[in-house]
Amino acid sequence: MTSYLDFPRRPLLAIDTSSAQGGIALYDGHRLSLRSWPADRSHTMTLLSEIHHLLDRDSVAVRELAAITIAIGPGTFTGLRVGFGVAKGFHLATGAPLIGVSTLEATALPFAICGMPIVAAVAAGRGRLAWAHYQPKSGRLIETQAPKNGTFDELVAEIDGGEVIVTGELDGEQTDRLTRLERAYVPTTALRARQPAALAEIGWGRWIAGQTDDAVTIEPMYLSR
Amino acid sequence: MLGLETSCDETSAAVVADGRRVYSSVISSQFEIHRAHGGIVPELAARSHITAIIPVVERALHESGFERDDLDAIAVTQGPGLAGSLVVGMNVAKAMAYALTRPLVAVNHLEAHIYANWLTDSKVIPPEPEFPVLCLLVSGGHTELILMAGHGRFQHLGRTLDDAAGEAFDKGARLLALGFPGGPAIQERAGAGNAAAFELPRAWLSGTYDFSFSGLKTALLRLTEPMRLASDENPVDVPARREASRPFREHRLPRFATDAPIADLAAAFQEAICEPLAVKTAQAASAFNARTVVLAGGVAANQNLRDRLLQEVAIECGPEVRVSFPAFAYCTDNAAMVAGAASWIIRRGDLAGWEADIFPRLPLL
Ligand SMILES: [Zn+2]
Repeated sequence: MTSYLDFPRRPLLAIDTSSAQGGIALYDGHRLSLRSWPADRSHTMTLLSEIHHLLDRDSVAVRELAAITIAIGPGTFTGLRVGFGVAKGFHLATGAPLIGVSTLEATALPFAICGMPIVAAVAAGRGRLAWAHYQPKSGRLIETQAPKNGTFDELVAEIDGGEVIVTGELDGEQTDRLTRLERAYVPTTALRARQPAALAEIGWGRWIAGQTDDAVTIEPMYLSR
Repeated sequence: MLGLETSCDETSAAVVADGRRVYSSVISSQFEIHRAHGGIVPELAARSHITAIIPVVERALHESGFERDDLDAIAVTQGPGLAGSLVVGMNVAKAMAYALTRPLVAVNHLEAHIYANWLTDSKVIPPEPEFPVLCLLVSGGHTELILMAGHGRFQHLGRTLDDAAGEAFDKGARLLALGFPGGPAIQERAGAGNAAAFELPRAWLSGTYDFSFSGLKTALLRLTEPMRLASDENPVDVPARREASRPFREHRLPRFATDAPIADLAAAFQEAICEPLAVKTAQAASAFNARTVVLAGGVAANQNLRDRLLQEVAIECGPEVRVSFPAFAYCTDNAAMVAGAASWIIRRGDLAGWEADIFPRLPLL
């Protein structure tokens, strides 16, 4: 079997099934290969085929993966269960270590370079949001407020006044309201979209640092409301 | 063959060869989590599958004496069952099959229950059940009478029109304050009771092979209402599933005086469920010239049902028709039956692709 020809090192597989847009990536800290697709509610039917296309294109076998990094949410429970099922199945078959990464941290990462505090949000159903606060520090993100589930008004109350970038899953009305706040910066819809590349980047950093998770006990993030 | 089963509240994995010989069968029960709620809470079930699956599969492999590379195929329950639970097993199985480059077999949970009758723990493999096989499938979600002309050839003869037999046991147990799950609780209490002490109705639905248990439940409620102690504001005839869908609510039972005839009531209730099941199964076996009658599903563990079925088949069909029961361990949900059924499914050339989905309401036919 040919092995990871284009990857100088064994790559890591990143899996994000925390929302309707599925995302996967292969990354070795240098070379990146990724796919993103509208899975809607069909993660079970699409995820493994998408992974197959990605691995096949780069001639990587599952047993050659250095690790698997998985978005742990917050997000849709069914989607997360699909991602966890596949990640744990790969672990069972090959022993690949698992690395769980907050979906919110992956959402915030692309804006870390701006040096400003970041609030990352994802839709949590019934008009609610889940969000967390981050402070960039030498290219990485420090979580300054843990993920929580709340209303949009609660989110606005938390950020009103301070200089902040707000990113993630926000609808048009929410974007308008945030933009009217004096020191809040809201990137455009396209730039706010979460990328599997960001997940892979965080996962790779943890892998290099030896920070893998317990494959047995790792589970989706469940926020109480 | 490695099988995974996560359709409800048990996380289970097993290694079975050729549809017959069980090398290992591991079940991690969430029983304690759900008992406090008087029923299965789907969200809690899905959550525990996620953390139980790796140790369960690793133990099943270890106990079987095989390595993961020895596996020929991976089998998994596709439905029916709870969506959030099925999704975990399906995706773990798919990923394992893909990574090990082995075929994936998607198994109907009901078919798996039937094929539990083909399983054995013994090195000496007993003869297969002879076709035509008449199967009474009785569990918490199903009560069906099925004729099996050969492997994979199923014909539906009858079903329950309302509650499943296992559901009836659960509801009866709640009315008698015997707890959850109802089948074993009622069987235990009925052991010391006299079934003839109370008259409970049977819905014979003659001319069909269908069943009905809702009238029986109502009759038991009427019979026990005057016996209840006061300060019992709790409506107990709420269907278990609806109650369970409101998560994290503690479950409360009615209270009876210590001298209430609970054992007699349990015995009468159990007999009123088992008698029509046994009689109609025996009648169908005779009408369709079955060579073997098999029991399947969680309620197949009920001793009274086993005894009654043996009796009725002997009366209706004579001694040449064999009656077979799965080993107790393979009556309730387990992965050995899934791995077992998968071997017969592979022989029909029926493999699942990477796009295979789950079907929470999958019927047998
Ligand atoms: Zn079952």
